[in-house]
Amino acid sequence: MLRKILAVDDSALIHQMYKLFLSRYKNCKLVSAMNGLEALDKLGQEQEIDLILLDINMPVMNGLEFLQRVQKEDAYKGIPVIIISTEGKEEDTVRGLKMGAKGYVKKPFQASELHSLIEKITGS
Amino acid sequence: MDFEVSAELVGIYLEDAREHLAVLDDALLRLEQSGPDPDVAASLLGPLHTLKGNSGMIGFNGIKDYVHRLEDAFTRVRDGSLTLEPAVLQPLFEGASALREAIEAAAAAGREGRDLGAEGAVLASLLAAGDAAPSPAPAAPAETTRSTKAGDATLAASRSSLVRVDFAKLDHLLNLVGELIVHRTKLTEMGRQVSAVAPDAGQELLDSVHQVASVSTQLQETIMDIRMLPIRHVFERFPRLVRDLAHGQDKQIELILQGEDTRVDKAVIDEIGEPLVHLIRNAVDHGIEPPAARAAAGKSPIGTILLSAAQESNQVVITLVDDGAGIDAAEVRRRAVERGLLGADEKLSDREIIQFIFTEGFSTARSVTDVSGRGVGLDVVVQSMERLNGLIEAETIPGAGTKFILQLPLTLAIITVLMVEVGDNVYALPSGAVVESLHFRPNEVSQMNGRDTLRIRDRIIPLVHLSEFFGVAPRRHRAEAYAVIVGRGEKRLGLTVDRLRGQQDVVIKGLDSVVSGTALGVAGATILGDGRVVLVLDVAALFESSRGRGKRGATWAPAEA
Repeated sequence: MLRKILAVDDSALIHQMYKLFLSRYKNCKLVSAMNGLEALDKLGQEQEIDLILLDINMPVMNGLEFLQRVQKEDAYKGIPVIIISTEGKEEDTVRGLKMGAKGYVKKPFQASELHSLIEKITGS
Repeated sequence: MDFEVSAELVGIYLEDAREHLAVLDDALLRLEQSGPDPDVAASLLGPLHTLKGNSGMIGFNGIKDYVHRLEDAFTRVRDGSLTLEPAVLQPLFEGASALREAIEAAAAAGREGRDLGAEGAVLASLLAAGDAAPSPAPAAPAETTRSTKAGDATLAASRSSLVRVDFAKLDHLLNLVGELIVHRTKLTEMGRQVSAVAPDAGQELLDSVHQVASVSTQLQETIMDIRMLPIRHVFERFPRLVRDLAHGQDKQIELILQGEDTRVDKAVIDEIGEPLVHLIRNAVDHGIEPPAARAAAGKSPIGTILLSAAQESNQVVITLVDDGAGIDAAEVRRRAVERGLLGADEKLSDREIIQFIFTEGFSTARSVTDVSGRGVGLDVVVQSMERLNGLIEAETIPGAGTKFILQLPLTLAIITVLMVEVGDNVYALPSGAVVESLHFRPNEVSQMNGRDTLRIRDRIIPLVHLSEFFGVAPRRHRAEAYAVIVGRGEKRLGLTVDRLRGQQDVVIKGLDSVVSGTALGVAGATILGDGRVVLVLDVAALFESSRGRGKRGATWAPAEA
């Protein structure tokens, strides 16, 4: 069962949408970060994150750099990562998948696309 | 789409989009002024990318597609394969305006309306033309992103502690603090009463109350501070506005902004944009002369508009100065007489004459242009200022320019009032509306058009005797009293009172509740420490009644009088 999802995106709108989209996972806490650096902080503060939804293009620290750091840490590298990619940035998505991300959805995405990918990856 | 696009989501989208659009405008201006700069172009890519993603998520696909093209264009600019000559910049400026229109319209309607197809086609042809030209070796983009990283580290530290809060919640919080302040004042009074009978216990109570008072003051200040935003949020769109307006009239104008970091209440921020746009349009359209006329007058062909903001005690003062032709007082006088606002032989100073430009429907513009002069006068500005409890004044030097001075309260929630006594009653006057207060003697009052007036320096100010207005018996003969000169927009009115009690911060409650009503000249009520309810006077309503009296005779006296 999903307990905590870390959503990393620099857009407040996307965070609101996650709130809507992920409301079907009852008792699952949504942790939000606006960039990679903030996401690293959140990983340190919160225990037992089950899934990371990761935007690539963000200020301060982008998604790929965040992913690289996560993969270096034994404590975090087991957490499945889903890349949320945007049109025109396919090469970044490919790099992310090579770096260990488990899957991706492309913006704009529908709630159902996200749900089925989450279910496939986490088995929830 | 398998979810409802709620108004809340659209609101977040719009707020976010506006920020990105401001970045786009700013970057375009910088690119125009200082030539192609790969760093400026690169700094745009992040915001555009986010805007594209957001537009797609919310289902605004036409907007998404256009932003995608813009992203392409600026990627080319960054890489040096698209040069920014005027033929390229102009469509980008126009495209940015069209994009803003499309986003505002889509957000307002909840779905896309304004089609960006034409603008998209223009961009596509620009990009195609760029393809045909031989492209220089692309600059290493990794380099540019890395170079900005050090500076971002500090930003990261501050960013991670930010929280978005609904403004309504802050409003509620402020209301709660307002209650706290009322009770704090009351507790202090009680402390004094207890001290009188039991000094020790009274002192202990007072010390404690003092602590509470100090904390609640800090709490109030902190909440007020949270509600404050730099006026930059309003100013940042003006460089683009001035550029576009000047461009359309073949004028050269430099806009200088000062004091953009001055912080004011969000409610003021929301309201002040429109009047400022109006004044700026006026300055560009009627103030600054065409380059040839400027040169002939011995001025630099480039006109200057200075927009500045500064905090002065609990007010923010915004000044807009242009070095244009100034306002012709003789022309204003002629129009005022023509419209019956002024008697043909009435003597007024030039400064006073100029204030007629603020009256409804007043215009001295000889030609109707694309920009202003479409029958919308400065009275619109005056109305906004009235809503904000602000004051506006104009000064002009013929041939040298015009200056508008706008005085606004820093906040609309807690106001400083001047307490005055009329007979046995205490009334509160919003300090923001008080220009000055003075003591006067009976022989200084003169009659004009059948009403009492007072001459103060070069202005003749009509008087309203508050004792008559509220039907209370004045303590002394009314003319041996104080006059509080209040202003509304550019107008001035003298209110006669028996005594001045000093200033105090109060929380106005229930501005549109049953207690208030413009007919009564009361804006709301506040509670004093001793539990006494004090009426806060509605200065605007006092002006209305005073005007009504001038026209119809004494119809504004209270019913029982």
